[in-house]
Amino acid sequence: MAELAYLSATELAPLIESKQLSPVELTKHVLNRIATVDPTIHSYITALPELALKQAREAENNIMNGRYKGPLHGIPIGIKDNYYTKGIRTTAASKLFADFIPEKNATAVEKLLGAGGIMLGKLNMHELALGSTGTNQFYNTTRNPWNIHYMPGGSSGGSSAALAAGLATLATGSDTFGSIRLPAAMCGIYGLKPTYGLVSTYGIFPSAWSLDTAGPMARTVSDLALMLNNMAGFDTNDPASLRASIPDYTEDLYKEIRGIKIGIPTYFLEELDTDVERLFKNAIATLKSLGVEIREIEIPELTMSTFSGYSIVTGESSAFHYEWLQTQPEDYGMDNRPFLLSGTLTNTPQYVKAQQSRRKLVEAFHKAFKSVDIMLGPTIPITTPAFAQNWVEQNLEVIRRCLPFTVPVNLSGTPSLSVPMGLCSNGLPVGMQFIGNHLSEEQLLQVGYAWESINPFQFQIMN
Amino acid sequence: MNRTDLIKQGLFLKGLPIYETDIQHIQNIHFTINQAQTPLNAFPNLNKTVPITVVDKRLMLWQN
Repeated sequence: MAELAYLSATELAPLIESKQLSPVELTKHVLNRIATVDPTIHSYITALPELALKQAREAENNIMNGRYKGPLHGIPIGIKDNYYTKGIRTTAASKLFADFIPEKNATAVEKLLGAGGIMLGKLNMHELALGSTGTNQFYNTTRNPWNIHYMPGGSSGGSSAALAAGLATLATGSDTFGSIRLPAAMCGIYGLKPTYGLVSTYGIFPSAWSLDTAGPMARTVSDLALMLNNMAGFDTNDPASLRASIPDYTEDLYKEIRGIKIGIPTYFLEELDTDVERLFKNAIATLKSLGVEIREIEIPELTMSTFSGYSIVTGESSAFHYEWLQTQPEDYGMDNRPFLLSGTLTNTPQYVKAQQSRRKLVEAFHKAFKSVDIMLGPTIPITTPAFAQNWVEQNLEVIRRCLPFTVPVNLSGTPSLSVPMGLCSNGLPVGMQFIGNHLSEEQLLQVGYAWESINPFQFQIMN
Repeated sequence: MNRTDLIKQGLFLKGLPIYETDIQHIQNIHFTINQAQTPLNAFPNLNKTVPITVVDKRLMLWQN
């Protein structure tokens, strides 16, 4: 019965609505898998079996009495542990917040639960959403379900691992310099980093305010669309929240993409691992067979992304952690403490220069989107590494290699969808990212859906 | 600011902890940032660009 845990929300919803599948049965099934498989994967920091079953019973009762709320009703969801959950420990995988119990839900949690979602638990993550490997010295290190000796990526590594192992139907993520897309690529799932401000970040631990983005993670593109329908929207509590009209992202998913113009910035073709390069070339050929126009484009401003990304991430995150760094330095992981301390030595002119570079990049993206509809590149230039003994150095090295590929869209505030593009020679997944203009999520999801339709990704069922 | 003594001094002056094991990692991060700054030279007009800042839209709403 492992397959039930791998069905998408889009497949499960009609079964639940038509009363062929009980939310209680579904939730029990996934909880059993968590009890069996998660002691190996460590995708959850706090599993919530009792609460999940209570919510599932309520959902079942409502549905049986004609009060079906919609396609998320009765669907098991994992929540990344940097999202506040009322009355439930929220640690951000940090020792600092080991006993923190919020008095409110993050807006995104409130919306997902309001739509009838079942909260399975709080998902593991790289400490404070500031790392890319999923290693954690205070909580357990999350393992990649494709091969437990390999990293799941981060920071939303618990989310991506839970999805790949069938331990959640849907999961939330957050992305400051790649934290949704990088683990999505490493675990072979789909992750959407939306336009900055489209999904409220109210009630989510800040990493770097001007880059932080919340978004959905799932095993299918249609599930991302379902989630985004229920996560996006203006929130008075979030100063960065956009007053944008929210379409039904599921409505035009099946639209043909023939004739769409895709540009590949040559910046994304440099320093690729051999497997990534090979799979990316194959993907381009496949996309061309769909009638998509693809050409290389030049965006020189992308070369400023690494400087700008590092300066802003380390600068803003160290500002948030400054006092704790002074008073509780031992409560930080050995990888994050030097990362944050390096930010305290960032000077203001450097930070401002980074924000000047960033505006240049935004302008360059706007110009590029006048000649192409979508941009495309590998999500990250490397294949998934096995865990190394020197995990501190390894985390900083993975960031050094991957940040130049992931942070540009955080800097520009534009959306990016990471999709699996195949398996590399060691059998682990590799991803590529479709990048759209501001608020072009509808089109990005259409392109992602078309890609998924001709390239359905087969998960190995983990028992 | 990538010399060991300057990093230590910088942390000390800010009341921040100094762990010997951290210093090489801080140096590596600063080295990466310094290297990454080189491409900025290709944009001589960068300083004419107004920086993006952390803007709270409500600040503007209150002014209106």
